[in-house]
Amino acid sequence: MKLVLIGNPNAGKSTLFNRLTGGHAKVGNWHGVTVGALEKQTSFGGQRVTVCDLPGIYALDALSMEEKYAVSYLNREKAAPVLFVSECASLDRSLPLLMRVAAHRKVMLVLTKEKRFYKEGGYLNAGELERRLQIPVISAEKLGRKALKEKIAQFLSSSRRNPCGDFTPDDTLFRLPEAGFSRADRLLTSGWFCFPFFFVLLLAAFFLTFFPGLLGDLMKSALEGFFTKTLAFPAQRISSPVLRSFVVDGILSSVGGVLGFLPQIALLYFFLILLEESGLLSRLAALTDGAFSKVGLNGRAMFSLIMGFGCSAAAIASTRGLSDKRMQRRVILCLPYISCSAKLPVYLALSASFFENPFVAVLLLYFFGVCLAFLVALFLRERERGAFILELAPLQIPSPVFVCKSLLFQIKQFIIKVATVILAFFLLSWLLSSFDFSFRFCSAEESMLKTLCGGLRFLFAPIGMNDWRIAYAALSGLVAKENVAGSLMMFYGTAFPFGARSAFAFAVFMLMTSPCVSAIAASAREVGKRRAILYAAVQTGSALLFAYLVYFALTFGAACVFLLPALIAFLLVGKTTFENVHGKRKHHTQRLHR
Amino acid sequence: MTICDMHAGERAVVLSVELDGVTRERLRYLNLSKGSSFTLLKTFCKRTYFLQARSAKFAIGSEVAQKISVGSVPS
Repeated sequence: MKLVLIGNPNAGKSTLFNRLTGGHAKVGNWHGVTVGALEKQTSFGGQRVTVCDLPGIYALDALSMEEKYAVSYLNREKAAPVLFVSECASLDRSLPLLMRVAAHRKVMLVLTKEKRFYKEGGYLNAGELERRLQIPVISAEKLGRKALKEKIAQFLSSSRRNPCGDFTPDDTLFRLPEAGFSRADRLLTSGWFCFPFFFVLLLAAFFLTFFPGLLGDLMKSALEGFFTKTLAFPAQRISSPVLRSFVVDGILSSVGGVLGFLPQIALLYFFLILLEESGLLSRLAALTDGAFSKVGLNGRAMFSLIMGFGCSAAAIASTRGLSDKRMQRRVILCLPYISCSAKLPVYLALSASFFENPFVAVLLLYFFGVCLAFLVALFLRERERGAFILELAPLQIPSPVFVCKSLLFQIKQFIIKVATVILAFFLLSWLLSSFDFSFRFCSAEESMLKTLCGGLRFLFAPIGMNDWRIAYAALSGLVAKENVAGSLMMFYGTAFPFGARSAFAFAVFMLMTSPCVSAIAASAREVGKRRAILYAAVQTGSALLFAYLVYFALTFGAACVFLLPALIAFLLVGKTTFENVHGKRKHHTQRLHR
Repeated sequence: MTICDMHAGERAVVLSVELDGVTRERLRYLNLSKGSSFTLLKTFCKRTYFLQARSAKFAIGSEVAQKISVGSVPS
């Protein structure tokens, strides 16, 4: 049996889903967090039920991509009972949709955010509402998890009531609070306050996370010390060379090295959670709409770009909230340049080896990535960018419990990823780099991996890294970007045998190259397989060219000016080809329509 | 007069919405349709307009704002 959660965007469906199922659906204080169906089994009064969380909808005549998805899901599951989730403060807007859904289905109304509603001066008579609607009504905040599940179990076992057909709410049922702009709202929608505030917040996040001697760096050093000193010391005493190599090179330096970055990744997520939960993000999206319009996007793209700092795959999925398919493609093309948290270990591993202050190097790379994303958007700019309409999420101080829970979940996810995908990858890498084809234990230079990847050394030769191991490290990023840092540590330890210029060019390559397979798969779901593969290939090719250019610029200085015309010609040819392909396709579609 | 000509804090009633069907519907769900009244809460650089129509608080871009004709409502 299925139980579907529907309602307006930002009504609290995913929060309810997590409460009912113990799941970890992404929750955020902005409209359009959920973009696909999430299903999880749980039991209500002994009955096994699959609870399904859908993206928020305003009406059954779907408009945006994620709304269309939700409505088509609802139409497929015609017999499934519905929990209609409505925020008390927007009950007036939810009721028409509720009545339409209730006309054909068994529905229960779940009211959310009741405390805030009463605090702001709202009035609601839930009993009278239930009597008039002839639909069961419950409050999610008033009930504990057990009581909530019991009420839902009663609802599931009851027969469907015929809801009241024409229903006109009046003041005896509910009265919405006198809304308006609070002082905080006024401040946060002023450019002179919001932008500097955001900038200071961002800088504080970066300082705390990356600056030597501050929280992130201290925690990283402690964890790194644990793996490379405390655990490695007894491991070095293992008498068997194969086992010693397996523990020291295969596990401690690679997997331990990647795990060492956990504190900094956690801090980055901490700031992202604060930003998402406070309601600041929707104000920022509204204020930056003007700037985004200059590059052919709209403020709604801000959500995906900010999410891109966490995980590219999730950010790509979130582009479904955009109303325009063409704009969605442009945002997906920009997203790989926004450095996801998995790229952070690579930047830190490279910058820590060469730059006196890794903080400056990492800041520079992040800034460079954002500029590139905007340049790509400008390059692909189209006149049509879709109308900008964005509902403002309420401002709130994030609950410490919620922040801790979300952060712990992200930490758990990272550890699971390291303990599964990354560990498996490094075990395979260690095996291939420690044995030759006759399974004799040998050095990396005589190993199977050298035979398999030796031909790729030319790829990074122009940036002074004529080494197959670098090519293998770069390639390993396709599985997960953390693998690059782990591979570098596995092969070279902390003594990286290349110069600062090469390292910086390689970091630029990592910044611009195609995202990992899970992000490519997310992209394929949105734009199709062929296009997703094409995007990844173009990104990797251009990243390689750009890395060469950066290396030449750093090595030869002014001489690289001659390379600029070549780059401009390359970009122009690319743009013309892109427009031709799109033009032809558009022409073909128009002909078909005629 | 359109929303672009209004001042912050001013109340108005929508006279017509000259936008495509999809955008018009989206605005209707936010309580902004022909005949409905709203308050302009704030404008930002003549690019973004913050509105309140009953329970809905939202922002629209100037390209949307300039296509909504309004008549002022005495406060």
